[in-house]
Amino acid sequence: MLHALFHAYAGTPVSHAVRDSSWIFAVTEMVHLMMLAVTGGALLIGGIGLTGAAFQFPDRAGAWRGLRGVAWWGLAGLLASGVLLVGVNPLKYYFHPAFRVKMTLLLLAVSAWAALDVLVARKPPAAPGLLAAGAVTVLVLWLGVAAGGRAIGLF
Amino acid sequence: MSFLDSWQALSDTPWATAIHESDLVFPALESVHVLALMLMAGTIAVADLRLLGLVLPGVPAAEVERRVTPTTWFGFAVMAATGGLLFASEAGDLRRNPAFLVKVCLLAAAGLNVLAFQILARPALERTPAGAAAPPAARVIAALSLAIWACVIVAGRAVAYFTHKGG
Repeated sequence: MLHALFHAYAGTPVSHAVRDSSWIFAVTEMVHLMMLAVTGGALLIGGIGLTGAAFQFPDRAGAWRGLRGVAWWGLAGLLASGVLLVGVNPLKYYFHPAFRVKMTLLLLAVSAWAALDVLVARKPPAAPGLLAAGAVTVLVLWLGVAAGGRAIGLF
Repeated sequence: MSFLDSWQALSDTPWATAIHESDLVFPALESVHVLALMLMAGTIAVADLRLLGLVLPGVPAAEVERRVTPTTWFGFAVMAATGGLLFASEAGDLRRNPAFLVKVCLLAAAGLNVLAFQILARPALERTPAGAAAPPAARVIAALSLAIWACVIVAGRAVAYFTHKGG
């Protein structure tokens, strides 16, 4: 089913436009990196803040909530630009091992992030130890996503 | 030897050549460089967005700036160290790469912007009561900072495109 989806995407005008243009891929890649910085920065500060290892916000859960919006918007930008980037050669990405690892880690990272959002929003908030463990999980998974992204370019 | 000629001499040194020709060291340095840039630009973005009143409304802007600055400097140190090694390994080609020269100018502009923040905005920001909007000078500098760092990322990525085209 996924193979059929990637195959169909390769035939769309969007995929043709990305493939045929000398600048769409480059510009999209730059937007992708900027979105990664925004999402990564927000998750890093909120996540490390939740662990208590740095930043020492008086209200750790409040700091996470205060960064949540920009982080999710950044993710939306990451996904939109990522879909465009894949359009340059969808089937190559489909069969690329590093891309598969990255997508798996992304799915896990976003799921863990959503679960952490629920834990932080609970009244009363979950135990600090649980929030810290959740934050570490989210950050490690995102580090894996970033490493997977680099690996796509290198291999 | 001109200043730009000395770049070629730098990239001809045995250690710079070794980095350039390594299948492992160059990509590893490049990956750490990108991650460090993300760390630094990400923390700067959060601090700037707070100055603009777009995130962390419950934490005073001066406090956010104070708390994230050490992480920003850590990211900068790693970025500068890896960037220096990457530069040395390709200095000969980079002297003709317009994207790299633009990136260096943008980094200088970012440095000047930090200086402007310290001189023009920080004193007023420290006096701003919790919950109040950041002073206009701080907001202008924050917007400039976001724009400059976005351009640094764009120029940094463009360096590779110009290099691959034989720039």
